[in-house]
Amino acid sequence: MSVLNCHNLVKSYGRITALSSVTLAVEPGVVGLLGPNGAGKSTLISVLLGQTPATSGEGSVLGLDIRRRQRQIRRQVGFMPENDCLIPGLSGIGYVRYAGRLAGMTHGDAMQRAHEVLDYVDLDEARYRPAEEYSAGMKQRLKLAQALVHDPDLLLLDEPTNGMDPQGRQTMLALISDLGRAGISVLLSSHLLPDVERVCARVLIMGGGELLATGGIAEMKRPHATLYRLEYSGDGAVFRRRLAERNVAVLEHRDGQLNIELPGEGTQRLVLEAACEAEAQLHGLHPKRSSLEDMFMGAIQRQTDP
Amino acid sequence: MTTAHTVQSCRYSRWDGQLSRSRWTWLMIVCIGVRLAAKRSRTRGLVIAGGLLVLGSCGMFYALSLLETLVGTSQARGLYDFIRVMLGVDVSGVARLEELRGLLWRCVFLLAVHIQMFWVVLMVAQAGPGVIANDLKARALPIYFAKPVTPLTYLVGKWMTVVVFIAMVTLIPNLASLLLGTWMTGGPGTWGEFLVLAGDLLVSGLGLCVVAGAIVIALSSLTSDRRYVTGAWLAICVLLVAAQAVVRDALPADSVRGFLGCISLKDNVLVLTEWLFGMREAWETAALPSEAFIRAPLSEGSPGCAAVVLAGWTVGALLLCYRQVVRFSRSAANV
Repeated sequence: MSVLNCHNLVKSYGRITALSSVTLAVEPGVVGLLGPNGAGKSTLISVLLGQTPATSGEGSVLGLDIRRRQRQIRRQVGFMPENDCLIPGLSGIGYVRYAGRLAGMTHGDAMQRAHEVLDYVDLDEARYRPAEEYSAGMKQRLKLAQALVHDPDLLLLDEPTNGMDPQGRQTMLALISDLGRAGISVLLSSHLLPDVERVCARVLIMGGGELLATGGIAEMKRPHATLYRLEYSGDGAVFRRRLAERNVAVLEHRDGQLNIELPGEGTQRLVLEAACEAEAQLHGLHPKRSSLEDMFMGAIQRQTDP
Repeated sequence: MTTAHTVQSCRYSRWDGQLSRSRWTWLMIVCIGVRLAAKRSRTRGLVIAGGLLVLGSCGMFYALSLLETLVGTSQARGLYDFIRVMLGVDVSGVARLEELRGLLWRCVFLLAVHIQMFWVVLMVAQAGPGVIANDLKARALPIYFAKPVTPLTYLVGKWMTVVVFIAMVTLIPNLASLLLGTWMTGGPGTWGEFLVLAGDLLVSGLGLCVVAGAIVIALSSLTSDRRYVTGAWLAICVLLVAAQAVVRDALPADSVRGFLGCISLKDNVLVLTEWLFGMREAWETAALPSEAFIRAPLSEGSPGCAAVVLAGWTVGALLLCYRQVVRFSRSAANV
């Protein structure tokens, strides 16, 4: 069963369309939500949490209708916002316990569970200190703890590694990976592509309120059949000319390196022929792999330049 | 040797408990709100100082009960003067003072309410402005609206937080002093009087708490800077009293009996408190000559108009605040 389902979801604020006919189905697991500022990520989260009513379309979270079962959805979903959202004056333990109480836990359960999740996010002794005295990394982990306190089935994380140092980032990503292994589905909204690449199995790419691309990271990063990186020595101008005569497109050239696109699969021999004719010596021919950044930029490019 | 605990070595464990659909979530918001506001030493000081009013009221009750036993004697002269100065009524000619007990006790509480109005202004200015403004400043709204908390629950929780603090300097000291006064005076008749008066005090105290609380949370929902809220609250209190004074001076007395006499929130509360205590009927039926009333005993203004004005302020403030809170709840993921 999909944890998130949307069908033609539209959200408009007057004449501004924040979500434009978004249709998606997210399977359980850790999924990345990518998009530039203003892409509609936060609006999508808000609509999924049932905070903002959708203008039209349908959607469900964990099988619960987003229009009719908002409170039930918020019982089963944990949300970690991008900003601090701390309550000044409360200690770490007081803050997480309060979050548990607001979610509907009894006093005893909330207290016990608050200690458990604070242990989990490694806020041991700091739990009794006022939360506003925490470092940026500790605040992020505290926010994760408040989202986890009622043991949700789905976590919505908005920029969870924002403002963290490299070690803190590693810690946060390790926690997210572990949550995924524990059976909690995670929707990770982030600008940091390496973070998404490291912990997510799938990604959703949004832009301009639309869902631009979706798929598994592994399959998106498969080697290209026609894109190659070529290393050579010899006269570069003659070599490029010979390649062009054989319909091999040169995408980028630097000293001794070319990024090329072959006219079809299995046509690598054209490169060898061109090298022979140009009297260039080949040192390497490597199939090119897409990075998440390539995918992201490609999707954005297709949107702006259809 | 034990291994060091690290995040990487820790495994998440699921929780198998049940979440309840509590109708008392607002009470948790109140508890946390009161706890956080009470951390300020100035708030605690105001609560303690407000509580000291109990001593003043009890002193008055003690003087009245003493006077009942000393009535007609030379020792009572000082007490007669004390009552005349404090309550504005000369009871030196009354032989059976216990028959006027209900009236005099109401006078004591009316005096207490007059003093408490000043306390309410200070307490609300201290404990009220931050209730919603602090959440806005700290961007703490997602903690509420990403959980199953409705805008109405949030609003009621914040409103009642302010109500608790106002009650601490009005309702609770009044009820405590009534209890102590009744205990000091004694007698079966006193307990009957106690119940009626307790009901009146409860209603008038809650009314005051509700109105002041609603106004300050509405102001608090408009900005994330509590200083502006404090300024706006003080401006409302002072400017309306000033406007009322100007209108009273400028217009003939008959013209200010209606809504023109109900501009000041403070005066409206006092008019309604007097009406609730039944002061007019009590004065008229009291076996006292008119020259016994040293001060004008009753406020001008119509209770009906005062009630309409206060209800208007309360409903208007709550609607404004609710609209704001709904707006916040819808943008909680975007803060």
